[in-house]
Amino acid sequence: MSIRLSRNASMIACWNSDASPVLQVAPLVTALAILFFVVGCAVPTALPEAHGLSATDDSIVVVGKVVLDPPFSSELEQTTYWNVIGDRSIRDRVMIATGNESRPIQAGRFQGDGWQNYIDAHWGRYFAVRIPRQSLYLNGIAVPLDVRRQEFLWFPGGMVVRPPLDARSIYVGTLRYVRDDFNQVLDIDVIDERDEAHAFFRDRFDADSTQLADALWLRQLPWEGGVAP
Amino acid sequence: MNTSRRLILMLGLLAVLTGCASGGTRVTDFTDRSVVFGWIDIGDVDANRLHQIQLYQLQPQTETPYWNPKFVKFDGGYLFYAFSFPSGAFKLYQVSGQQCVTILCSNTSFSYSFGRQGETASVRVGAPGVYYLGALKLEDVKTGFFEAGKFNVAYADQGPTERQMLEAMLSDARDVDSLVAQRINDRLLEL
Repeated sequence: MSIRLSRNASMIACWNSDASPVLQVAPLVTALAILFFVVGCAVPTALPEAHGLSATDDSIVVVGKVVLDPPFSSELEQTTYWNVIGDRSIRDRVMIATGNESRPIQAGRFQGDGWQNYIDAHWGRYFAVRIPRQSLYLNGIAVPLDVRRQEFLWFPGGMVVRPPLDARSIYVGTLRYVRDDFNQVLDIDVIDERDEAHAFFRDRFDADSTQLADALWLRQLPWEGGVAP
Repeated sequence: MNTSRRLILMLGLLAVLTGCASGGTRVTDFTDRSVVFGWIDIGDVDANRLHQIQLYQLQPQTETPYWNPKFVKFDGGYLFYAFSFPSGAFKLYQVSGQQCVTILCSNTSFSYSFGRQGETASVRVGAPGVYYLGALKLEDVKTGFFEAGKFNVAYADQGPTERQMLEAMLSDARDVDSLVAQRINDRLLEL
């Protein structure tokens, strides 16, 4: 963002001052138009997937799982369309909005930078992502149902994970979202399936799963149900 | 002979192309079916003539979740109803219409989708009977200059009563099945 602004600023400064007033204003208008588009087009960005359980001094690997109860049926709840990437790319996909502060998502839209570091997960499958070594807030969930109609389910977050100082990777548990017939969240549980998680990551990364910190600290923030309006 | 064959072929092609070869299953036994009805006011949004109202079946999940009830102009809005709903959870999913002035209509179709989440404009159908989805209103939500238009669906403060709606549906129900008419009459007695 700052680079773009400075480029625009230098472009305005270098404009020929002998030009007509209309031409002098034109770059400013162009710069402002670009600014509007840049500000309004914060594209959701997924956190990088981790390919092992080891991390650097300034990063940490977070692993976990998210499930829905009653279970999500991709066949019956999602509509896919042919495209060059593959029409099945949204199957069972879950987007978990994260950040370094509590910022509940707003239902109905991918607002601003709230989705700049989302976890690209799938229902019932383990995810492993690399994040900066800092508290990780889970701010909400978006579930694509029909991409062409821009139809999603929006679930609340309200949890924070604080990594222990000496941990290289942490297990956040299985987040179980309980829903009613109208896709409203009734409850959110955190289930400890540590043994299963250890076995999965030992097989997947051929790594010493003891690297996965047992010191899990996950706190559920006060939650009154629903997603922020 | 050749002309007749050509005519039959043309009619067959026409039927397929216009979608006449497909369609839903016709319900003739209403024993385990229910009446679902509601009313919607669209006076606040761009469309002023409806051409579709669609409900979505959330539970039990099915490969054919879309329900298209009949709708008629009624008391400043649209009364919508169907007599053949099975047990399950249903939600108003989409309303589509056009902007018309007398018989002249624009060629722009306005669709208002409500998604598959939340209890507003939804109904749980249990034992066979009569289920009221509510009197609803589409509201235009003011947005910024660069923002896309928004709308909201809410329960209407004013509108016809449940009794008025049931009475309006009754003659149609009698034409369809006596059991459906009986259920509506039973509900009217309760009100």
